[in-house]
Amino acid sequence: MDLHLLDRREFLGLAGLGGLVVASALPGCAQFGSPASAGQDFFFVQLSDLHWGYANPKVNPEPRESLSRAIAAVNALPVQPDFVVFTGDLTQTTDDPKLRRARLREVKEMAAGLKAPRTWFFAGEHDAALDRGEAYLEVFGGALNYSFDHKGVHFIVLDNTSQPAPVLGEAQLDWLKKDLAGRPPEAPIVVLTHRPLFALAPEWDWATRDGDAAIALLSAHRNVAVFYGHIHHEHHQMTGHIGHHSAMSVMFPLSPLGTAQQKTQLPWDEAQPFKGLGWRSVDWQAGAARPHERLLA
Amino acid sequence: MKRRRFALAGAAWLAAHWSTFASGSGIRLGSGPAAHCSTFAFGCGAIRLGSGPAAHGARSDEGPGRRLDLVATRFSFSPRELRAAEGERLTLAIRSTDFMHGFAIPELKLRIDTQPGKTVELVLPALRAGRYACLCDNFCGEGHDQMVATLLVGAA
Repeated sequence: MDLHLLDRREFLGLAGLGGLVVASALPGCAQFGSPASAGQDFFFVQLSDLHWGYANPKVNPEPRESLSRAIAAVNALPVQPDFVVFTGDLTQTTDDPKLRRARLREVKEMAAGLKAPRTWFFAGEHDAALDRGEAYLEVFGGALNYSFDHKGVHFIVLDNTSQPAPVLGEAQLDWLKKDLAGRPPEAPIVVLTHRPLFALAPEWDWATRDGDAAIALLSAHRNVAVFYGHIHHEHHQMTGHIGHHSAMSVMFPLSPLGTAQQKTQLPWDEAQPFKGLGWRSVDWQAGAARPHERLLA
Repeated sequence: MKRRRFALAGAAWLAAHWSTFASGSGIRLGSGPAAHCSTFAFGCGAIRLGSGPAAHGARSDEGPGRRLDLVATRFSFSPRELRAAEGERLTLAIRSTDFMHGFAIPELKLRIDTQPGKTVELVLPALRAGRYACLCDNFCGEGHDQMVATLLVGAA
């Protein structure tokens, strides 16, 4: 069933384990050309920053429950998404290579419980920075950056986490240039990445050093949106005509910019467990992508 | 222990040459190998240039200034708080004990990679009074987010 056949209120309503839905009508949020170039309607789900293995009861005393709730909520949707993408930091980092692999395998096993017909994964710095993605690739296979097409939309996964430095690197930028070459300027493109490509807050490590080079390449295309994680809360910003949209974390929230002097993990709220945690569905209709934030609380 | 010196010009100089530098034209600052010493390449004009706190017209040929030693160890800098007088020039001598940490002062668009077991130097321009956030910007492990420091200039 295509998404446009759904009752809108049903789609946006509370699902399964609940959670408020915040539908974003954002300037420049992926108004992808004419409907004729937009392909079919569909929706996908973004799960980010699972940090499996995280252990700080003051911030999240139910760390194993968070991911289970998110998966159950996705499975409870009246119509399943075409795919679920996990946008990095699947695991909490560790110096122990065996433990890193064990955590990655557990995430993979839990994700297998999703009803959605397809899942896509890529690494965050917690998964990949300390071993250049070796464990991640061992468990999930594939590549650290890749692209795929879905119903007329070109998805590009960019890796800005598999080195200690927050960079894409020249080789990947060359790959991006080649991947974009020959695509019509109006072709709809969605970039999936972990860190913000733009300098959101370098003082909080919320930036990609050479992200502007990627943005420059993408800017030649008129219909581009970027969905990312890393900052553990919803944030929307434009660079030119490109919208950048961060998602909430499934495991712990971080203080939004301007609310704290230093980056801070927000404490657990006993009165509202799972507050600040969530996931996102991205509704693709009539050539426009609209993110809907779904809260775990 | 062999030391490497990396001299950076002041922010005013950077502002004047930013577009060239950011385009990756290969301009080298000071005498150090450019591969080990770079500035941020910010997009979106998120940080002001030219009128920033280091706009005293300081030049790289004015000397390295006072040396200030700093040790980087997972997951802290020691000392955590650095102090300087307004307008004073500093050379940060940063020794890493265990990892290629980064040392970054985003507001000044200055950063450097450390090298385990070695000391690297970062020459700062004369600064206006204020608090400057510093951080390790190479992900170094679970405590990476706590690896921060503050540069206090003047009476701040």
